[in-house]
Amino acid sequence: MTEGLAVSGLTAGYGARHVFDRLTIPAIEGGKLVALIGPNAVGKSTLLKALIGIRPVHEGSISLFGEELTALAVSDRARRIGYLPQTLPQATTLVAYELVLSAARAMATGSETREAVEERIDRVFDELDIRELALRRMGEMSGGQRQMVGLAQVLVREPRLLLLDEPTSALDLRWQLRVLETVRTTVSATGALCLLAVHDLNLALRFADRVILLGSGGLLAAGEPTDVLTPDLIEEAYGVSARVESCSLGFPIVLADRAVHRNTEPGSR
Amino acid sequence: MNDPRIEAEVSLADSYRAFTARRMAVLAFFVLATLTSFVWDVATGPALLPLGDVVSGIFDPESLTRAQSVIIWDVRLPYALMALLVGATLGLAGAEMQTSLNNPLASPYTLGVTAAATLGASLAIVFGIALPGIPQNVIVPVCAFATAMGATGLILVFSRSYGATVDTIVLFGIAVLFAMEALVSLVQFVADSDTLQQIVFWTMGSLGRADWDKISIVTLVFAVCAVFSFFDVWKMTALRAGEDQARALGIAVERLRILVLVRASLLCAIAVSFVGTVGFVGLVGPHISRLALGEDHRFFLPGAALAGALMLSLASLASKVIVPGLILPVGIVTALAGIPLFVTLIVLQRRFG
Repeated sequence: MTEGLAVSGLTAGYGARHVFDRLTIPAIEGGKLVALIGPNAVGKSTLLKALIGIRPVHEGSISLFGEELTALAVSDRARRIGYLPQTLPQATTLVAYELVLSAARAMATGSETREAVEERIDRVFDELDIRELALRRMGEMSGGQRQMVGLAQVLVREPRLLLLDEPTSALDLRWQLRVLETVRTTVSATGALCLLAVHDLNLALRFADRVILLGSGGLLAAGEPTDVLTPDLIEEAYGVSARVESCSLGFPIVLADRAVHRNTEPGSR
Repeated sequence: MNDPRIEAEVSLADSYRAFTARRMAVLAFFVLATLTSFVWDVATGPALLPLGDVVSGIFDPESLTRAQSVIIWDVRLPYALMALLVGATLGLAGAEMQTSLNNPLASPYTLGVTAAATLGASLAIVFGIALPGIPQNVIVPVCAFATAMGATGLILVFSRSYGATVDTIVLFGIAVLFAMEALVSLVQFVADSDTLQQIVFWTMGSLGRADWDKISIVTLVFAVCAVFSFFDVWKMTALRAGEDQARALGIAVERLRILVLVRASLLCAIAVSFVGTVGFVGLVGPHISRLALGEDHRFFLPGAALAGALMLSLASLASKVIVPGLILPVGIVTALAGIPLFVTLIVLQRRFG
């Protein structure tokens, strides 16, 4: 097994407030799509931001394919990591092609030829099936279309680690499937690794090779999707009574029955 | 919903090249229009010199009489060139400010740079400041520039302490703006009627203060800032997708914002120090460029500089022909022409996006 990502003893947060303390995630090998799930405010987005370096890490280590990331500047990390933030790209007068071109060019070291960059952009637009958006202004697109362009910005950089924060939040059913299929194909073909923060447990079950479940106290479970997404763990994490059943095609699906009363505020830790 | 501009068998790069070729054509049109306006500006004036004599006089100064040579080389050319340079300077500064503050209403004046320059000029005029080693005829621009950069320094110090977010910079900028305006009022209050008149005239903005030395200085500052802007074009374009997106690419957004702020303030301060307050160019120039060329900063920044140059060149021309035989302060003409243009642009933008 080639170790892709290992997080150990990680403490990060906003200023003095720690969102998680000494979080350790078992090593994940390359080529895998990993779903990061958990209720609101447990630190899914903060973890992704700490990995890319936008949120400062107070202690702990992050190793990506054997290289320690915490020692690297954000600009150096960004050459290895593609991060899709939760916010959609702004509705500007830029056309989609320019946005993706700027992502390929902005922090480039300049060693790559123009043709190579153009070829990559062409390929990404094809993979995501959004060629017809290339010359359309961002301001004329729907939220879902802008989200697709945002994803193209990440993929065009061919990162070793993809951090996708709710990449399907603005997408309809067809595009949700399309995006996750593309991401899974990309990581398994390139040996890269994808950490996908997602609320939809069924998408996690359907597409993820591994699932990391965060709770208010840190890591609740990590492993095979069917080992993590059990009724007991779902109730512990979300306060929801749920069943995990098999659909007619044999895939497991989560059916949420009702919220179990707990003395917590929405979105609190 | 197929885009007719994109054919399946043509690579996207080729489709995009065709798309950018149109933008190059628009930029070329801007250059042509600006040059035409410049020649027209040089050829216009109370002396009524024939256009042919003016053009041949520019390329062959020996063909001119002594009087014609003075009119063209010492009066009209500096005046027209200063219009181009100040317009380009304010257009570029405005475009950079709008991108870095993510606000289409930002301009080089948003952060109180002009108000600070006015304070410096007012102090120099009212108190007759003399500084060792600085000729008395440039003391007003030197003081204006010093206070403008001082105000920028203040905002930078605040931003360093509290983070260079858009909110921090705009809030401190507005605070500096109001503080400077209050101080200007205070200086005006203690001024006698003669110096008060001089301050008022200074704030109107006039190209009549142009000479070759000032032109060289503005050219140098513009060229240096433009080179630094050029190195940041991709980062600025990426920033238009959003601050989170830019950070995700590894761009140090706050550092970029501070660099842009320093560049824009320097450009604005040097322009305002030499010609006084010239409104609207820094606000409207970038909007014209955005409408015509989009926001890929490889086109947007030169477009904004050219649109600013064109606007101020036309204003310079208008300032000579509105009242025959009299040259109005260009700041008055620019503001008057700027308001209807600005409103039209907003309407167009609403209608055509």
